[in-house]
Amino acid sequence: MLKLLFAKQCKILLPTLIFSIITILPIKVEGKQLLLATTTSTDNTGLLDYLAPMFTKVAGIELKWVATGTGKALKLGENCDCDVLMVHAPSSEKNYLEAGFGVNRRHVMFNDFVIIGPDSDPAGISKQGLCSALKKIAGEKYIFASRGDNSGTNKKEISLWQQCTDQTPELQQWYLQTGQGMLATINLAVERKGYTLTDRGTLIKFAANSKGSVPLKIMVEGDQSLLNQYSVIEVNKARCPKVKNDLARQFGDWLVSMEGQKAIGDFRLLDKQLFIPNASAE
Amino acid sequence: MEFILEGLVKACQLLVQGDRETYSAIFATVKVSSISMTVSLLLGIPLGYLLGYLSFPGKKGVRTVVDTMLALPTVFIGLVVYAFISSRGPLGEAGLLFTLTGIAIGQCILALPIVIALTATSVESLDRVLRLTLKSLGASPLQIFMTSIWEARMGLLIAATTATGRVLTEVGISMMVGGNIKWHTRTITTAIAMETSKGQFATGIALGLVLLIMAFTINLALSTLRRRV
Amino acid sequence: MEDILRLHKVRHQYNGRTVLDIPDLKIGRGSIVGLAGPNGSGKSTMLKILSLVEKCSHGTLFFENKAITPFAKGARHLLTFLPQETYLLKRSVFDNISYGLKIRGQKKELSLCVAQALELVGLSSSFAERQWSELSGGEAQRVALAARLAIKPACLMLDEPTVSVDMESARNIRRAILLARQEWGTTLVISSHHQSWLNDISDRIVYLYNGRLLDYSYKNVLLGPWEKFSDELFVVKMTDGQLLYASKPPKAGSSGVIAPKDIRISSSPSFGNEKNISGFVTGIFADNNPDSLCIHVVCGDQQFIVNIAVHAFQIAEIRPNQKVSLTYNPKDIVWLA
Repeated sequence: MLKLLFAKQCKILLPTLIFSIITILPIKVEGKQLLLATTTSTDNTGLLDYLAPMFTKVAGIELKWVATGTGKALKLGENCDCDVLMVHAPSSEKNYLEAGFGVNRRHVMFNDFVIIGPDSDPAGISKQGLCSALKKIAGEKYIFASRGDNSGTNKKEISLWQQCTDQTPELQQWYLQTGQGMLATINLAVERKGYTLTDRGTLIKFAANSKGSVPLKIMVEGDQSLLNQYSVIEVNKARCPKVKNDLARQFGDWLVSMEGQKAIGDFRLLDKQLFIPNASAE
Repeated sequence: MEFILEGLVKACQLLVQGDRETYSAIFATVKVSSISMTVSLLLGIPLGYLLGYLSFPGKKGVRTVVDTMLALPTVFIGLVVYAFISSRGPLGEAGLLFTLTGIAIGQCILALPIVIALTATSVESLDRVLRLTLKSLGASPLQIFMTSIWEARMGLLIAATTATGRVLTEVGISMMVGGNIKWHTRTITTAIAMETSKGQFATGIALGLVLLIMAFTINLALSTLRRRV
Repeated sequence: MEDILRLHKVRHQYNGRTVLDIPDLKIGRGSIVGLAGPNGSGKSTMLKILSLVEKCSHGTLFFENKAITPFAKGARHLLTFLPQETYLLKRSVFDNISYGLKIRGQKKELSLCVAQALELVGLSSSFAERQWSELSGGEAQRVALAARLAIKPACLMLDEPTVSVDMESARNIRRAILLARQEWGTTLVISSHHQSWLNDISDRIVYLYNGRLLDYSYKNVLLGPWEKFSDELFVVKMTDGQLLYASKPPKAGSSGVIAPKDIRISSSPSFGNEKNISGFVTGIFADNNPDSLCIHVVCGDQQFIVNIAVHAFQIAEIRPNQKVSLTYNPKDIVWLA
């Protein structure tokens, strides 16, 4: 009776219903999955897009990743919302392990940070030492773009300010905190003709995106303090019973294996190597 | 300027060449918005009907709450849903963070007030005599409900269109709850946000055009439906 | 006659105000009961209660000697109501008329039933294809009536069915109502301001005033609004242009009654303190009193019932359709409120 009464409605409702069911159905058909929380640099450069299929092929595990700043990634692990971390803020990482949030930290690779700025170099910091360059920028109040998102790069940058000027330029007119990823921050530096600190990998990616014609040049590089170490950390199963620690372990093992290390070393963009594997160190 | 043109060209390329990443994002968007719209229509229409049809003490208060919820910012919904479904949150056991289901929950919270408020309004604006007429013809309460909903179908279509528009274009919930995971929870809007933050404006614009085409198609379908019924 | 509907100790209130108060009213099976009374007297409310659209706040409605309430199984499919402002579903005429049949579970012969219902109200079966928006006011009213007739109701309540329809529609509605009674023995309760139309169609008229039944079924009810004519006299203009005089009413909208014995009927007007009004004889009936007769006279759309002694009737030579004068004293009109 209902069918008869609402025959007209059915004509419209039925296709809608079928459509909804079709789209809803396949939602829970998934295999082994590992959730990685990582920094924007590994995602933005395309390294993970390159590594993930290799890892899946070897281990039969699908790798999913959330790319945020190192700070947020560490927080996700603390909240048991991911299985494994790949981050680059050594001092925070050590505290993190001490607090029992993560276990089994292993070095994976490094690249280095560079300070970049406009071609014209208004502050005249090109080829200067790291600290004198930063002091000049602060002294002359040139625009400096900061991630300001508690990421690994941001933490490194703050430690450099502390090291060279004994303070962070918080609340300064010329100190712009974007709160966004590295590429967005470089973009801001370009638009505002300012300086910024970036990892070399992301800079190469930025150059690739802008078809090689980068309006920013490397001003400072090669200082020992500018080393950028990436590590893999497993989320502590003792705290978070639901995390897939066995899968996380397999991922970490693969990254530091001969095969994983070779893969990282082979990753190139614009014919440049972005990351240098160093699992054997430390 | 050139990246706008480039975006146009790229949009066509992505769509025509069947770019896997783009189609994955389109599929995720379609899937998650279908779920959230189905749920919010199934819940929202009966609730909106009751709100518009019944008079009870405190009705005005409920109306005010629903109307206020129309203005809920998506990032706030995203934050609250995140807090609830994070492993450390009260619903952490379900493992919904970084899944499409999680996004759908947030989008339901976004769409439900719209569906309820607009349904209630269109039910309220139905002729009083309709109820009298149906009752006089011997209809049961369920039959009165079904027929009233059908009589208010124009208003309901508008409610559905409005809510779909919001759900389709929101980015706060998808980003915070979904995490923009490639091949999984990357929707068109989060992909746009990401591409823009990477400085890939052309890809961002291309995806934006894709979203525009989707929204346009849905609106066209609904307005054709409106003319037919 | 067996009762099909009965209102027992019914009191109905809106926001604490009593709008209907009926100690007892019985409606016989197959009868046509007219419901008269001024606006706001409770006619619509009574019809809604009788047709289970509204629940009375106190008291009981009996249908075939069983107490029933709205949504009662069985009864709700047998009683129906045509409201004054009709509403058509935003669908075709066919869907409107077959709606009642569908919710009763009927699947077969819908087209036949719809065509029959349309024919009853004097519309051709081609109307079934029209959309709700393609009808005139009178057609919409007739389609709404057809939707009620299609379900072959045991009782049909009609609220002002002839208001705002053209003459032809009014005639068609009357014909449909009478056919329904003839075909299925439908009991009808009809409210109307159209007094002569109502007198003509009804077996019995019930007057409502301020929600109460008036025991004035044999008196002539005169409805306002009254206009001031002179210091003492007030008038109401009838549809044929004649003036009906009365003493000062309590309110402009008041209703008055005049007893049949207070009106004199003759073939020519008489003058003095009394007033005259002319009309046509529509019927001559026996009275309860064997020595007198009851004569129905129509002036415009107002019907008067007049008593005349048998011997006077013979002298006056009153015939049906004859033009007569009614003579009355305005002071004899008694105000109801």
